[in-house]
Amino acid sequence: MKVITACGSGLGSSLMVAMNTEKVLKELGREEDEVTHMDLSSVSFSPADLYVFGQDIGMSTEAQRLDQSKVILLKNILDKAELKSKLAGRIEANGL
Amino acid sequence: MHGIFRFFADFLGQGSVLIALVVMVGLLVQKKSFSVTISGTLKAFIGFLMIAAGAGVVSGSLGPFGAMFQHGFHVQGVVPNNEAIVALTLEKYGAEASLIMTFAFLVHLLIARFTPIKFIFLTGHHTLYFSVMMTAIYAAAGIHGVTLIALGAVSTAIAMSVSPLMSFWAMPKVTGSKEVALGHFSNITYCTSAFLGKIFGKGSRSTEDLKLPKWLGFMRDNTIAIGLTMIILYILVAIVAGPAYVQSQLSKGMNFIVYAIIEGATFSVGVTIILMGVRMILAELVPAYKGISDKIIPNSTPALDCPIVFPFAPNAVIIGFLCSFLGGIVGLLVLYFVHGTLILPGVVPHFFVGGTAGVLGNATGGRRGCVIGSFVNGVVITFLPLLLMPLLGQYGIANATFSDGDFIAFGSIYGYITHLFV
Repeated sequence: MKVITACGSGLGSSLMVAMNTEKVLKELGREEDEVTHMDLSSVSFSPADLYVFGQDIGMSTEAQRLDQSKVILLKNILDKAELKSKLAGRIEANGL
Repeated sequence: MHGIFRFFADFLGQGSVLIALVVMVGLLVQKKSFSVTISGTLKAFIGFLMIAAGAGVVSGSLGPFGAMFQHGFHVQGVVPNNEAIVALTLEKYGAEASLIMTFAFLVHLLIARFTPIKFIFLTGHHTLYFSVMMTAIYAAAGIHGVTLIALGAVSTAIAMSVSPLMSFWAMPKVTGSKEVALGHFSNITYCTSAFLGKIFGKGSRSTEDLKLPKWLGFMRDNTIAIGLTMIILYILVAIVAGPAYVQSQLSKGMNFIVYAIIEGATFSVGVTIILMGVRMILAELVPAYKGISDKIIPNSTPALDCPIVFPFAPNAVIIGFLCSFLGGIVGLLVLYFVHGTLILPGVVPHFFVGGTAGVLGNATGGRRGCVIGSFVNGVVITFLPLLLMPLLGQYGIANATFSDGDFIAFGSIYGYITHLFV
Protein backbone atom coordinates (compact mmCIF):
# COMPACT_ATOMS: atom_id res chain seq x y z
CA MET A 1 0.00 0.00 0.00
CA LYS A 2 1.18 3.52 -0.75
CA VAL A 3 0.26 6.50 1.45
CA ILE A 4 0.79 10.14 0.51
CA THR A 5 0.76 13.06 2.95
CA ALA A 6 0.82 16.64 1.70
CA CYS A 7 0.82 20.28 2.75
CA GLY A 8 1.18 23.62 0.96
CA SER A 9 4.94 23.58 0.55
CA GLY A 10 5.54 19.88 1.21
CA LEU A 11 8.28 20.62 3.73
CA GLY A 12 7.14 20.82 7.34
CA SER A 13 3.77 19.53 8.44
CA SER A 14 3.48 16.89 5.70
CA LEU A 15 6.81 15.44 6.85
CA MET A 16 5.54 15.32 10.46
CA VAL A 17 2.36 13.53 9.37
CA ALA A 18 4.44 11.15 7.23
CA MET A 19 6.65 10.29 10.21
CA ASN A 20 3.59 9.66 12.39
CA THR A 21 1.96 7.60 9.66
CA GLU A 22 5.04 5.38 9.35
CA LYS A 23 5.03 4.85 13.11
CA VAL A 24 1.32 4.05 13.25
CA LEU A 25 1.52 1.65 10.29
CA LYS A 26 4.34 -0.15 12.07
CA GLU A 27 2.14 -0.47 15.16
CA LEU A 28 -0.55 -1.94 12.92
CA GLY A 29 1.98 -4.51 11.71
CA ARG A 30 2.27 -3.01 8.23
CA GLU A 31 6.00 -2.36 7.88
CA GLU A 32 6.03 -2.88 4.12
CA ASP A 33 3.79 0.11 3.41
CA GLU A 34 5.34 3.09 1.67
CA VAL A 35 4.78 6.64 2.99
CA THR A 36 5.76 9.73 0.97
CA HIS A 37 5.26 13.42 1.66
CA MET A 38 4.94 16.11 -1.00
CA ASP A 39 3.51 19.51 -1.89
CA LEU A 40 -0.14 19.84 -2.78
CA SER A 41 0.58 20.52 -6.49
CA SER A 42 2.15 17.10 -6.93
CA VAL A 43 -0.78 15.19 -5.40
CA SER A 44 -2.94 15.28 -8.54
CA PHE A 45 -0.39 13.30 -10.58
CA SER A 46 0.82 11.01 -7.78
CA PRO A 47 -1.32 7.89 -7.48
CA ALA A 48 -1.65 6.33 -4.03
CA ASP A 49 -3.94 4.06 -2.03
CA LEU A 50 -4.55 6.59 0.73
CA TYR A 51 -4.00 10.32 1.18
CA VAL A 52 -3.66 11.87 4.64
CA PHE A 53 -4.21 15.63 5.09
CA GLY A 54 -5.08 18.10 7.83
CA GLN A 55 -8.76 18.98 7.60
CA ASP A 56 -7.90 22.52 6.46
CA ILE A 57 -6.20 21.00 3.37
CA GLY A 58 -9.40 19.03 2.72
CA MET A 59 -11.07 22.13 1.29
CA SER A 60 -8.26 22.77 -1.20
CA THR A 61 -8.95 22.32 -4.90
CA GLU A 62 -6.37 19.53 -5.26
CA ALA A 63 -7.77 17.50 -2.36
CA GLN A 64 -11.36 17.95 -3.60
CA ARG A 65 -10.47 16.35 -6.93
CA LEU A 66 -9.31 13.09 -5.35
CA ASP A 67 -11.44 9.99 -4.87
CA GLN A 68 -12.80 10.87 -1.42
CA SER A 69 -12.89 7.24 -0.28
CA LYS A 70 -9.08 7.42 -0.34
CA VAL A 71 -8.81 10.67 1.61
CA ILE A 72 -8.28 10.80 5.38
CA LEU A 73 -8.69 14.22 7.03
CA LEU A 74 -7.20 14.87 10.45
CA LYS A 75 -8.70 17.28 12.96
CA ASN A 76 -5.45 17.41 14.92
CA ILE A 77 -2.55 16.49 12.66
CA LEU A 78 -0.34 15.57 15.62
CA ASP A 79 -2.82 13.23 17.32
CA LYS A 80 -1.53 9.70 16.72
CA ALA A 81 -4.64 8.10 18.25
CA GLU A 82 -6.89 9.88 15.75
CA LEU A 83 -4.53 8.94 12.90
CA LYS A 84 -4.43 5.30 14.01
CA SER A 85 -8.19 4.82 14.27
CA LYS A 86 -8.84 6.58 10.94
CA LEU A 87 -6.07 4.69 9.13
CA ALA A 88 -7.15 1.32 10.51
CA GLY A 89 -10.79 2.03 9.65
CA ARG A 90 -10.00 3.06 6.09
CA ILE A 91 -7.60 0.16 5.49
CA GLU A 92 -10.38 -2.23 6.48
CA ALA A 93 -13.14 -0.42 4.55
CA ASN A 94 -11.06 -0.25 1.35
CA GLY A 95 -9.69 -3.79 1.78
CA LEU A 96 -6.04 -2.66 1.55
CA MET B 1 50.18 14.02 -3.79
CA HIS B 2 49.23 17.53 -4.56
CA GLY B 3 46.55 16.33 -6.97
CA ILE B 4 44.96 14.13 -4.31
CA PHE B 5 45.04 16.90 -1.74
CA ARG B 6 43.44 19.25 -4.23
CA PHE B 7 40.73 16.65 -4.92
CA PHE B 8 39.78 16.36 -1.25
CA ALA B 9 39.96 20.10 -0.63
CA ASP B 10 37.65 20.78 -3.57
CA PHE B 11 35.39 17.81 -2.75
CA LEU B 12 34.85 18.77 0.90
CA GLY B 13 34.52 22.44 0.01
CA GLN B 14 31.26 21.66 -1.73
CA GLY B 15 28.09 22.33 0.30
CA SER B 16 26.40 19.48 -1.55
CA VAL B 17 29.08 16.99 -0.47
CA LEU B 18 29.05 18.18 3.14
CA ILE B 19 25.30 17.92 3.47
CA ALA B 20 25.37 14.44 1.90
CA LEU B 21 28.02 13.35 4.41
CA VAL B 22 25.93 14.67 7.33
CA VAL B 23 22.90 12.74 6.09
CA MET B 24 25.03 9.64 5.56
CA VAL B 25 26.35 9.76 9.14
CA GLY B 26 22.78 10.22 10.39
CA LEU B 27 21.60 7.16 8.48
CA LEU B 28 24.57 5.04 9.59
CA VAL B 29 24.00 5.98 13.24
CA GLN B 30 20.39 4.83 12.90
CA LYS B 31 21.68 1.54 11.39
CA LYS B 32 19.53 1.93 8.28
CA SER B 33 19.89 -0.63 5.50
CA PHE B 34 22.52 -0.24 2.78
CA SER B 35 20.01 0.74 0.11
CA VAL B 36 18.31 3.35 2.33
CA THR B 37 21.71 4.82 3.28
CA ILE B 38 22.88 5.11 -0.32
CA SER B 39 19.61 6.55 -1.63
CA GLY B 40 19.26 9.02 1.27
CA THR B 41 22.84 10.24 0.86
CA LEU B 42 22.48 10.70 -2.89
CA LYS B 43 19.11 12.42 -2.48
CA ALA B 44 20.67 15.02 -0.17
CA PHE B 45 23.55 15.53 -2.63
CA ILE B 46 21.27 15.92 -5.64
CA GLY B 47 18.75 17.98 -3.66
CA PHE B 48 21.44 20.51 -2.78
CA LEU B 49 22.44 20.87 -6.43
CA MET B 50 18.77 21.20 -7.31
CA ILE B 51 18.57 24.27 -5.07
CA ALA B 52 21.39 25.83 -7.10
CA ALA B 53 19.58 24.96 -10.33
CA GLY B 54 16.41 26.61 -8.99
CA ALA B 55 18.44 29.65 -7.97
CA GLY B 56 19.53 30.07 -11.58
CA VAL B 57 15.92 30.01 -12.77
CA VAL B 58 14.77 32.41 -10.05
CA SER B 59 17.54 34.94 -10.66
CA GLY B 60 16.99 34.71 -14.41
CA SER B 61 13.41 35.79 -13.83
CA LEU B 62 14.13 38.34 -11.05
CA GLY B 63 16.74 40.19 -13.09
CA PRO B 64 14.33 41.54 -15.72
CA PHE B 65 11.74 42.16 -12.98
CA GLY B 66 14.21 44.37 -11.11
CA ALA B 67 15.14 46.20 -14.33
CA MET B 68 11.49 46.87 -15.29
CA PHE B 69 10.69 47.98 -11.76
CA GLN B 70 13.62 50.38 -11.62
CA HIS B 71 12.74 51.81 -15.02
CA GLY B 72 9.04 52.19 -14.21
CA PHE B 73 9.07 53.37 -10.59
CA HIS B 74 12.64 54.72 -10.18
CA VAL B 75 13.05 52.77 -6.93
CA GLN B 76 14.03 49.21 -6.09
CA GLY B 77 11.24 46.63 -5.88
CA VAL B 78 11.85 43.64 -3.64
CA VAL B 79 10.00 40.32 -3.53
CA PRO B 80 9.99 38.74 -0.06
CA ASN B 81 10.53 35.05 -0.80
CA ASN B 82 12.72 32.89 1.45
CA GLU B 83 13.46 30.28 -1.19
CA ALA B 84 14.69 32.83 -3.73
CA ILE B 85 17.05 34.70 -1.41
CA VAL B 86 18.30 31.49 0.23
CA ALA B 87 19.06 29.79 -3.08
CA LEU B 88 20.92 32.86 -4.38
CA THR B 89 23.06 33.03 -1.22
CA LEU B 90 23.63 29.28 -1.03
CA GLU B 91 25.38 29.29 -4.40
CA LYS B 92 28.27 31.21 -2.87
CA TYR B 93 28.28 30.04 0.76
CA GLY B 94 27.03 26.45 0.46
CA ALA B 95 29.84 24.78 2.43
CA GLU B 96 29.76 27.26 5.33
CA ALA B 97 25.95 27.17 5.54
CA SER B 98 25.88 23.35 5.58
CA LEU B 99 28.33 23.25 8.48
CA ILE B 100 26.51 26.02 10.35
CA MET B 101 23.22 24.12 10.05
CA THR B 102 24.77 20.86 11.27
CA PHE B 103 26.41 22.46 14.30
CA ALA B 104 23.31 24.56 15.00
CA PHE B 105 21.30 21.33 15.34
CA LEU B 106 23.85 20.07 17.88
CA VAL B 107 24.08 23.30 19.91
CA HIS B 108 20.28 23.50 19.93
CA LEU B 109 20.15 19.99 21.43
CA LEU B 110 22.61 21.09 24.13
CA ILE B 111 20.41 24.10 24.96
CA ALA B 112 17.37 21.83 25.29
CA ARG B 113 19.32 19.32 27.36
CA PHE B 114 20.92 21.71 29.83
CA THR B 115 18.68 24.80 30.07
CA PRO B 116 14.99 25.23 31.01
CA ILE B 117 14.13 26.04 27.35
CA LYS B 118 13.14 22.56 26.21
CA PHE B 119 11.96 23.18 22.65
CA ILE B 120 13.18 20.98 19.81
CA PHE B 121 12.90 23.02 16.64
CA LEU B 122 11.91 20.53 13.95
CA THR B 123 11.19 22.83 11.00
CA GLY B 124 14.24 21.84 9.01
CA HIS B 125 13.82 24.24 6.10
CA HIS B 126 13.68 27.24 8.42
CA THR B 127 16.85 26.04 10.17
CA LEU B 128 18.52 25.76 6.77
CA TYR B 129 17.30 29.21 5.69
CA PHE B 130 18.40 30.76 8.99
CA SER B 131 21.87 29.20 8.68
CA VAL B 132 22.18 30.59 5.18
CA MET B 133 21.12 34.04 6.36
CA MET B 134 23.63 34.04 9.22
CA THR B 135 26.37 32.99 6.78
CA ALA B 136 25.54 35.94 4.53
CA ILE B 137 25.31 38.44 7.41
CA TYR B 138 28.58 37.39 9.07
CA ALA B 139 30.42 37.05 5.76
CA ALA B 140 29.27 40.54 4.76
CA ALA B 141 30.69 41.79 8.08
CA GLY B 142 34.07 40.28 7.14
CA ILE B 143 34.01 37.19 9.39
CA HIS B 144 35.38 33.98 7.87
CA GLY B 145 36.47 30.41 8.54
CA VAL B 146 36.01 28.70 11.90
CA THR B 147 34.81 31.89 13.61
CA LEU B 148 32.07 32.27 11.00
CA ILE B 149 30.89 28.70 11.49
CA ALA B 150 31.00 28.84 15.31
CA LEU B 151 29.23 32.20 15.51
CA GLY B 152 26.70 31.19 12.87
CA ALA B 153 25.87 27.90 14.59
CA VAL B 154 25.44 29.44 18.04
CA SER B 155 23.33 32.33 16.65
CA THR B 156 21.09 29.91 14.76
CA ALA B 157 20.75 27.55 17.73
CA ILE B 158 19.74 30.39 20.07
CA ALA B 159 17.08 31.55 17.60
CA MET B 160 15.76 27.97 17.34
CA SER B 161 15.29 27.89 21.13
CA VAL B 162 14.06 31.42 21.78
CA SER B 163 11.68 31.84 18.84
CA PRO B 164 9.11 29.18 19.91
CA LEU B 165 9.11 30.65 23.42
CA MET B 166 7.61 33.92 22.16
CA SER B 167 4.27 32.44 21.11
CA PHE B 168 4.17 29.45 23.47
CA TRP B 169 2.02 31.21 26.08
CA ALA B 170 -0.82 31.47 23.55
CA MET B 171 -0.63 27.89 22.24
CA PRO B 172 -2.94 26.28 24.86
CA LYS B 173 -5.69 28.63 23.65
CA VAL B 174 -5.19 27.26 20.12
CA THR B 175 -4.53 23.54 20.57
CA GLY B 176 -5.89 23.00 24.09
CA SER B 177 -2.56 21.70 25.40
CA LYS B 178 1.07 22.60 26.01
CA GLU B 179 2.34 19.65 24.03
CA VAL B 180 3.39 21.53 20.94
CA ALA B 181 5.10 24.86 20.15
CA LEU B 182 5.39 26.81 16.93
CA GLY B 183 8.76 26.22 15.29
CA HIS B 184 8.43 28.81 12.57
CA PHE B 185 10.59 31.89 12.26
CA SER B 186 7.62 34.25 12.39
CA ASN B 187 6.96 33.95 16.10
CA ILE B 188 7.53 37.66 16.68
CA THR B 189 4.41 38.55 14.69
CA TYR B 190 2.46 35.54 16.00
CA CYS B 191 3.17 36.74 19.53
CA THR B 192 2.15 40.29 18.56
CA SER B 193 -1.10 39.04 17.05
CA ALA B 194 -1.98 36.96 20.11
CA PHE B 195 -1.14 39.92 22.34
CA LEU B 196 -3.31 42.32 20.32
CA GLY B 197 -6.14 39.79 20.42
CA LYS B 198 -5.88 39.69 24.18
CA ILE B 199 -6.08 43.49 24.45
CA PHE B 200 -8.70 44.33 21.81
CA GLY B 201 -10.71 41.12 21.49
CA LYS B 202 -12.79 41.09 24.68
CA GLY B 203 -16.20 39.52 23.98
CA SER B 204 -15.59 38.99 20.26
CA ARG B 205 -16.97 35.69 18.91
CA SER B 206 -14.80 33.05 17.23
CA THR B 207 -14.17 33.14 13.46
CA GLU B 208 -15.14 29.47 13.31
CA ASP B 209 -18.87 30.30 13.61
CA LEU B 210 -18.69 31.96 10.18
CA LYS B 211 -19.38 30.37 6.78
CA LEU B 212 -16.66 31.25 4.24
CA PRO B 213 -16.52 30.67 0.46
CA LYS B 214 -14.62 27.56 -0.63
CA TRP B 215 -13.11 28.90 -3.85
CA LEU B 216 -10.12 30.26 -1.91
CA GLY B 217 -9.03 26.63 -1.56
CA PHE B 218 -6.69 26.82 -4.54
CA MET B 219 -4.49 29.27 -2.61
CA ARG B 220 -3.28 26.35 -0.49
CA ASP B 221 -1.14 25.25 -3.41
CA ASN B 222 2.22 27.05 -3.37
CA THR B 223 3.08 26.65 -7.05
CA ILE B 224 -0.27 28.06 -8.09
CA ALA B 225 -0.31 30.86 -5.51
CA ILE B 226 3.21 32.03 -6.38
CA GLY B 227 2.61 31.67 -10.12
CA LEU B 228 -0.60 33.68 -10.00
CA THR B 229 0.77 36.56 -7.91
CA MET B 230 4.02 36.81 -9.79
CA ILE B 231 2.23 36.87 -13.16
CA ILE B 232 0.01 39.71 -11.91
CA LEU B 233 2.98 41.61 -10.45
CA TYR B 234 5.09 41.17 -13.62
CA ILE B 235 2.22 42.37 -15.84
CA LEU B 236 1.66 45.48 -13.67
CA VAL B 237 5.37 46.29 -13.64
CA ALA B 238 5.72 45.66 -17.39
CA ILE B 239 2.84 48.07 -18.07
CA VAL B 240 4.41 50.80 -15.93
CA ALA B 241 7.84 50.24 -17.53
CA GLY B 242 6.17 50.49 -20.94
CA PRO B 243 6.32 48.33 -24.09
CA ALA B 244 9.08 50.39 -25.69
CA TYR B 245 11.54 49.70 -22.86
CA VAL B 246 10.59 46.05 -22.30
CA GLN B 247 10.60 45.05 -25.95
CA SER B 248 13.84 46.84 -26.84
CA GLN B 249 15.89 46.03 -23.70
CA LEU B 250 14.60 42.75 -22.29
CA SER B 251 12.24 40.62 -24.34
CA LYS B 252 14.10 40.72 -27.66
CA GLY B 253 11.00 42.01 -29.38
CA MET B 254 8.45 39.66 -27.77
CA ASN B 255 5.19 41.38 -26.79
CA PHE B 256 5.72 42.87 -23.31
CA ILE B 257 2.61 41.33 -21.74
CA VAL B 258 3.41 37.84 -23.03
CA TYR B 259 6.97 38.32 -21.76
CA ALA B 260 5.68 39.35 -18.33
CA ILE B 261 3.39 36.31 -18.11
CA ILE B 262 6.20 33.90 -19.04
CA GLU B 263 8.73 35.46 -16.67
CA GLY B 264 6.21 35.58 -13.79
CA ALA B 265 5.40 31.90 -14.22
CA THR B 266 9.13 31.12 -14.54
CA PHE B 267 9.70 32.56 -11.06
CA SER B 268 7.26 29.98 -9.71
CA VAL B 269 9.14 27.26 -11.63
CA GLY B 270 12.36 28.25 -9.87
CA VAL B 271 10.76 28.23 -6.42
CA THR B 272 9.21 24.82 -7.08
CA ILE B 273 12.61 23.39 -8.05
CA ILE B 274 14.19 24.89 -4.92
CA LEU B 275 11.45 23.44 -2.70
CA MET B 276 11.93 20.03 -4.27
CA GLY B 277 15.65 20.21 -3.50
CA VAL B 278 15.04 21.33 0.09
CA ARG B 279 12.56 18.46 0.53
CA MET B 280 15.13 15.92 -0.71
CA ILE B 281 17.73 17.17 1.79
CA LEU B 282 15.37 17.21 4.76
CA ALA B 283 13.44 13.98 4.15
CA GLU B 284 16.18 11.97 5.88
CA LEU B 285 17.69 14.65 8.09
CA VAL B 286 14.62 15.65 10.12
CA PRO B 287 13.49 12.12 11.11
CA ALA B 288 17.07 11.29 12.18
CA TYR B 289 17.24 14.48 14.22
CA LYS B 290 13.89 13.80 15.86
CA GLY B 291 15.01 10.25 16.69
CA ILE B 292 18.12 11.55 18.45
CA SER B 293 16.29 14.26 20.40
CA ASP B 294 13.52 11.85 21.49
CA LYS B 295 16.19 9.59 22.90
CA ILE B 296 18.40 12.06 24.77
CA ILE B 297 15.84 14.72 25.75
CA PRO B 298 12.63 12.84 26.53
CA ASN B 299 10.90 15.76 28.27
CA SER B 300 11.27 18.17 25.32
CA THR B 301 8.49 20.02 23.48
CA PRO B 302 8.50 19.73 19.69
CA ALA B 303 8.34 23.07 17.86
CA LEU B 304 6.68 22.50 14.49
CA ASP B 305 5.89 24.28 11.23
CA CYS B 306 3.00 26.76 11.27
CA PRO B 307 0.32 24.75 9.39
CA ILE B 308 -0.03 22.54 12.49
CA VAL B 309 -2.41 25.19 13.89
CA PHE B 310 -4.48 25.52 10.68
CA PRO B 311 -6.87 22.59 11.29
CA PHE B 312 -7.85 24.13 14.64
CA ALA B 313 -9.31 27.26 13.00
CA PRO B 314 -9.53 27.05 9.17
CA ASN B 315 -11.69 30.21 8.92
CA ALA B 316 -9.17 32.24 10.90
CA VAL B 317 -6.51 31.18 8.37
CA ILE B 318 -8.49 32.63 5.46
CA ILE B 319 -9.46 35.83 7.30
CA GLY B 320 -5.89 36.18 8.60
CA PHE B 321 -4.51 35.82 5.08
CA LEU B 322 -6.85 38.47 3.63
CA CYS B 323 -6.24 40.97 6.47
CA SER B 324 -2.48 40.39 6.38
CA PHE B 325 -2.41 40.92 2.61
CA LEU B 326 -4.38 44.14 3.07
CA GLY B 327 -1.79 45.19 5.66
CA GLY B 328 0.92 44.44 3.09
CA ILE B 329 -0.76 46.67 0.50
CA VAL B 330 -1.21 49.51 3.01
CA GLY B 331 2.48 49.15 3.94
CA LEU B 332 3.44 49.20 0.27
CA LEU B 333 1.50 52.44 -0.31
CA VAL B 334 3.22 54.06 2.67
CA LEU B 335 6.63 53.03 1.31
CA TYR B 336 5.66 54.41 -2.10
CA PHE B 337 4.74 57.82 -0.69
CA VAL B 338 7.93 58.11 1.35
CA HIS B 339 9.94 56.98 -1.72
CA GLY B 340 11.47 54.00 0.08
CA THR B 341 12.48 50.65 -1.38
CA LEU B 342 9.20 48.90 -2.20
CA ILE B 343 8.58 45.58 -0.44
CA LEU B 344 5.93 43.83 -2.53
CA PRO B 345 3.25 41.70 -0.88
CA GLY B 346 3.87 38.01 -1.50
CA VAL B 347 0.89 35.70 -1.33
CA VAL B 348 2.80 32.81 0.24
CA PRO B 349 4.16 34.68 3.28
CA HIS B 350 0.85 36.43 3.80
CA PHE B 351 -1.00 33.13 3.55
CA PHE B 352 1.16 31.10 5.93
CA VAL B 353 2.31 33.82 8.30
CA GLY B 354 -0.87 35.91 8.09
CA GLY B 355 -2.99 32.79 8.42
CA THR B 356 -1.13 31.67 11.54
CA ALA B 357 -1.28 35.18 13.03
CA GLY B 358 -5.04 35.01 12.36
CA VAL B 359 -5.36 31.69 14.21
CA LEU B 360 -3.50 33.05 17.25
CA GLY B 361 -5.39 36.35 17.21
CA ASN B 362 -8.67 34.44 17.05
CA ALA B 363 -7.61 32.18 19.91
CA THR B 364 -7.00 35.11 22.26
CA GLY B 365 -9.48 37.66 20.88
CA GLY B 366 -12.05 36.15 18.53
CA ARG B 367 -12.89 37.82 15.20
CA ARG B 368 -11.62 41.21 16.29
CA GLY B 369 -8.34 39.70 17.49
CA CYS B 370 -7.95 37.78 14.24
CA VAL B 371 -8.52 40.85 12.05
CA ILE B 372 -6.36 43.28 14.06
CA GLY B 373 -3.56 40.77 14.72
CA SER B 374 -3.17 39.61 11.14
CA PHE B 375 -3.47 43.14 9.69
CA VAL B 376 -0.66 44.33 11.96
CA ASN B 377 1.31 41.22 10.95
CA GLY B 378 0.96 42.25 7.29
CA VAL B 379 2.18 45.80 7.96
CA VAL B 380 5.10 44.61 10.09
CA ILE B 381 6.40 42.03 7.59
CA THR B 382 6.32 44.74 4.92
CA PHE B 383 8.49 47.22 6.85
CA LEU B 384 10.84 44.80 8.66
CA PRO B 385 12.83 43.63 5.59
CA LEU B 386 14.18 47.17 5.19
CA LEU B 387 16.14 46.68 8.42
CA LEU B 388 17.84 43.55 7.19
CA MET B 389 18.71 44.45 3.61
CA PRO B 390 21.80 46.59 4.38
CA LEU B 391 23.22 43.70 6.43
CA LEU B 392 23.06 41.13 3.65
CA GLY B 393 25.86 42.75 1.64
CA GLN B 394 25.53 42.17 -2.10
CA TYR B 395 22.43 40.00 -1.48
CA GLY B 396 20.62 42.97 0.02
CA ILE B 397 20.23 44.33 -3.51
CA ALA B 398 19.18 41.05 -5.12
CA ASN B 399 15.49 42.03 -5.55
CA ALA B 400 14.55 39.28 -3.09
CA THR B 401 14.59 39.13 0.71
CA PHE B 402 13.45 37.05 3.68
CA SER B 403 9.73 37.13 4.30
CA ASP B 404 9.35 36.10 7.95
CA GLY B 405 9.66 38.35 10.99
CA ASP B 406 12.08 36.29 13.08
CA PHE B 407 14.65 35.99 10.31
CA ILE B 408 14.69 39.75 10.13
CA ALA B 409 14.43 40.48 13.86
CA PHE B 410 17.13 38.00 14.92
CA GLY B 411 19.21 38.66 11.80
CA SER B 412 19.16 42.42 12.42
CA ILE B 413 20.03 42.08 16.10
CA TYR B 414 22.95 39.75 15.35
CA GLY B 415 24.03 41.86 12.38
CA TYR B 416 23.98 45.25 14.07
CA ILE B 417 25.73 43.89 17.18
CA THR B 418 28.44 42.43 14.94
CA HIS B 419 28.93 45.78 13.25
CA LEU B 420 29.64 47.33 16.67
CA PHE B 421 32.69 45.08 17.01
CA VAL B 422 33.95 44.46 13.48
